[in-house]
Amino acid sequence: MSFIKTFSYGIIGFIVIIAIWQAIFFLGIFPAILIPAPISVLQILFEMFYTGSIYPNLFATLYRTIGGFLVALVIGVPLGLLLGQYKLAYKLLQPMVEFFRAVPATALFPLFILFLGLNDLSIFGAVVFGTVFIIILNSMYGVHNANKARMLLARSMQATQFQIFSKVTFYDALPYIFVGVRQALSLSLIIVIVTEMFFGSATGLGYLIYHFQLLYQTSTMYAVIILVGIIGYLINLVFVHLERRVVHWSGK
Amino acid sequence: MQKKRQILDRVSFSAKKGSFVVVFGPNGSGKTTLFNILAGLSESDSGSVQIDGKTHRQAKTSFLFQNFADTLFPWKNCLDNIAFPLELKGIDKKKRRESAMELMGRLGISIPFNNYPYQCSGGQKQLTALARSLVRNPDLLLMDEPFSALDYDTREMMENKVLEVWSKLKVTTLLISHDVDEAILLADKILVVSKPPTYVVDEIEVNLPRPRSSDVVGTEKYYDIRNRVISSFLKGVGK
Repeated sequence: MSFIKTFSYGIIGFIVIIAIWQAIFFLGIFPAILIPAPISVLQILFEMFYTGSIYPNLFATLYRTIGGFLVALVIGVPLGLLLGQYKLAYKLLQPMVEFFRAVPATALFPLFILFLGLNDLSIFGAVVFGTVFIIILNSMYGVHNANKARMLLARSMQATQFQIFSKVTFYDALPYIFVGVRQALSLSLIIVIVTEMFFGSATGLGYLIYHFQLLYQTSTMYAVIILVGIIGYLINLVFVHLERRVVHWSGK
Repeated sequence: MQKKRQILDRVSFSAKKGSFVVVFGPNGSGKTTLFNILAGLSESDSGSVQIDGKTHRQAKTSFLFQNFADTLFPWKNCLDNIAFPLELKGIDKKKRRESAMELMGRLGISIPFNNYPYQCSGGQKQLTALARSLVRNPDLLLMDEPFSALDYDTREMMENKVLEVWSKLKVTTLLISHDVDEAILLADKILVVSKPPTYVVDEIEVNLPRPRSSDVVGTEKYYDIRNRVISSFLKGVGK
């Protein structure tokens, strides 16, 4: 019931935005080329799916987003746990992690193109670089903030170091890991869209946005922008659901 | 460099197998340090510990900390929390759950075992933690001020439950308390310890009949024991 209620309120928000958009269009505050009619944008969005023309670009973007994210996940979580668990590793690597986290992934994209070529590998590289440090840091903080009393309890039961880590510390760190992973997933989509727009990709939703802007087909451009928003929203929704199931104790 | 400070000074005592011993002393007197050594969490500079003929490393010791309900694992339901010590021993899930269920039945502990700790009341969490400390049949049960953070009702319930469980299992129990009435209610023997460097000021036998309830308060024997505990305590803090 509460889900339906929340969902209804959310829908009302969208209806209000579309109404304002329609009013701006109707009053002619901006030229129609800048703010087209919402109905024509929604119609194009619908047609893209109906004719299937959007699918190759949609899948290209999803493939790059999820692929890059998964690589970052596989590298980031173990490395973050390692940094959290071992003081020496933390002392050696923490300043470097903080430094690279501050470098925008897109700034290094030309470098990725030089090394990896103008292809999906470069986009993967940018996604991994842009997200892995967030995952590392959050996993590390998770270990640092693990409940000391629970670890001590396991130690008093003659648990081995590995058992304490795998059966206590890891689970205590899991809510933090999820925070990092969620941020990384949202950022992955952003990085993919930006790199598709400006670095000569010939597929993907980012490429379409830029392409239709150059052609002044703004209705189509808006339709793709809305689609990107929907994807981001759905990815987040799925992830929140997963988070609630896996780390159900978090915040309770 | 941190200056080394002597905490314990020739602390020596024995507890009969299956007895209930309460350690009573001032704050900061090294009682927790003593328990940490007994549980193998800290090393003493010298001396030795023998538990039922075994070293403290060989013996099975269970430790209930202050606020011990907070040491439950929120990602495990109550049953799996209770079975956790068996999980560490590599016993398979079905068997360890059976053992946990059997223990709860034997101890008359009734909790919603499929619930997670965050779905339980304070008392249910306490009982879960208590059952967890007993599931591997420990040689020694250590309790460090287990009831200090509880409200009156829960405290009384837990004191009675601990006594009931102890009388069923007869596990040798050492409990730290700052409450002289609680000490007399629970103990076979009260160890009064001094401020650091800590030594045992007095070992007082509590030969009141069992089962005990708050009715023991007010009897002559009770006051004799109480006065002796308090005078030993004052001696231990140098008054």
